[in-house]
Amino acid sequence: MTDDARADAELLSAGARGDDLAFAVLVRRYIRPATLLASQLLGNRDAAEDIVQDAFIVVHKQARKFDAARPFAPWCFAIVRRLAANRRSRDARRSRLLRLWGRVGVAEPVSAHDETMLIAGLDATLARRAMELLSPMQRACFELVALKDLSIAEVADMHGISESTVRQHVFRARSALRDALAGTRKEKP
Amino acid sequence: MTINDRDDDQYWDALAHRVAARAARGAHRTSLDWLARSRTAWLMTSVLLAAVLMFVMLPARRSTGDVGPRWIEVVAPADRIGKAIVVRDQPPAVGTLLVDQASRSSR
Repeated sequence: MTDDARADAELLSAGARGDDLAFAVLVRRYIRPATLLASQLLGNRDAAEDIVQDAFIVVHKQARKFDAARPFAPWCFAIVRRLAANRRSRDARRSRLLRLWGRVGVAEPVSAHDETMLIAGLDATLARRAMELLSPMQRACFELVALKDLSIAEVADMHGISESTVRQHVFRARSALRDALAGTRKEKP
Repeated sequence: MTINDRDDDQYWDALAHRVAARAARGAHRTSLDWLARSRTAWLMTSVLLAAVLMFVMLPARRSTGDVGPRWIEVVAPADRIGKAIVVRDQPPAVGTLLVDQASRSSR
């Protein structure tokens, strides 16, 4: 499914003409970054999969309107971001209503910084504390670049920001983590 | 994103397959499919049908004269033309109206 050399726009237009295989290749190409992005925005993999599902339905429906001269990735990730934002506000509304009715609120999304266990040579608690010092965007960019091996360009497309901004976030996150972890190591007896 | 989330090719292949299949199915769906599947569509269609039936039935009921001929006679105007218009099934002949009009003006 992954070894089709056709460009994204070609696959999309073939998909719009009813070539389901071409569309499947396109989905496979972007499913990972799209799901990781949605997971970061929602803090929950199951919800992220739902959003990505909806996003690709939108992509398929809007395929004929897509301007082939423009890159596919930013368009696709923008749809994911919009749907995730809608989902977040809907969940927040529902949770507010449930609180008003005196019932137990909807579970808050799992926070993204559990990933920090991957930072080499550190235990989970230390890593988590260090990651908490980062801004949400620094954490998001750092996770995708350093822990999920996505390229700077991919992360820029995913979050709709420039590559230099992503580089800056990752650099600052690395420095902040290094400083924080060095400090905690020194504090330890 | 948590450390327990899967991140291997097999998982992404399976997810992509599922997502692509559903997206293609969703895109090929027409408005007729929506009509067949959606409960709201069924409800709206039923309401619409009921409204159409009522619209068709109501004039029929009126023409059968269910209102009651006695009431019609009571509320009808006292003059001949008024009575002719309201009480009789057929509208009054033009001649009748002209004669009546002429006899009134001669009075």
